[in-house]
Amino acid sequence: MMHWPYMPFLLVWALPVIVLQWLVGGKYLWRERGQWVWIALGLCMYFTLADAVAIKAGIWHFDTTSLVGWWLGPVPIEEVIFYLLTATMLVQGFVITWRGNKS
Amino acid sequence: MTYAAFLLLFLLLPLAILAAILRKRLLNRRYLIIVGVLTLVALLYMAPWDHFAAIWGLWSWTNNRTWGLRWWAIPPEEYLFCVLEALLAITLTFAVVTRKDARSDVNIATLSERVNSDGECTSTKLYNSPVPTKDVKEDKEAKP
Repeated sequence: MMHWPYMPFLLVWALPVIVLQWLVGGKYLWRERGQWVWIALGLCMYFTLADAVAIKAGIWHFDTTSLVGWWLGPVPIEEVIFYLLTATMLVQGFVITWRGNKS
Repeated sequence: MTYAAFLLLFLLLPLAILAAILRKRLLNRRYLIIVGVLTLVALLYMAPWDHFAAIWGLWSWTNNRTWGLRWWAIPPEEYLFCVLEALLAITLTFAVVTRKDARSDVNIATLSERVNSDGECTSTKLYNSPVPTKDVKEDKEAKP
């Protein structure tokens, strides 16, 4: 069955949301960048570590023919980017809504 | 390790620790509304994407590591992962973004406690003379 590889499928799903968040709340995101960037990076590292445990424990696994082929130990690079992008969407979403309707 | 045990260890445990630290600060109406809405949006946005990845076989789950159920092509644990990741990420951001407010609240509370118990304020930077708050109040009430 024809299908997308993991990386483009991930980017097409997540990047439009991040672009939209910057269009809507770029003002707040830029002002607060010193805080949320570190939270997103920290979450990405934490979830990558957790992902390594899950993969080692055999909870989930990947179709290696759909991967770029770069690995961080047992974790495909796509998973690292997945956690970076999902954490960024969530953290940015909170910063924008929290700062946006403060008044 | 099962998927459920993984969720317990890596998602629910840190979330519980975070909640134990924040306690009353979590009873913030705006935070509760935002976390509810964003988590729901995350869940609705993730489900169809994850479903397609699963039927394409981009990733799969080991049967005896999950409860064995599938909603669409996705195990219920995966929906829980999404919900818990959203709760963790948003609550952590809430904790960091509001920590300055919380600190100044604490400072004000300690300050007023000092004023009340000693009858005067020891912080000379803010007040030059002793402030007998109770007396001042009574004086004001006594005067016509």
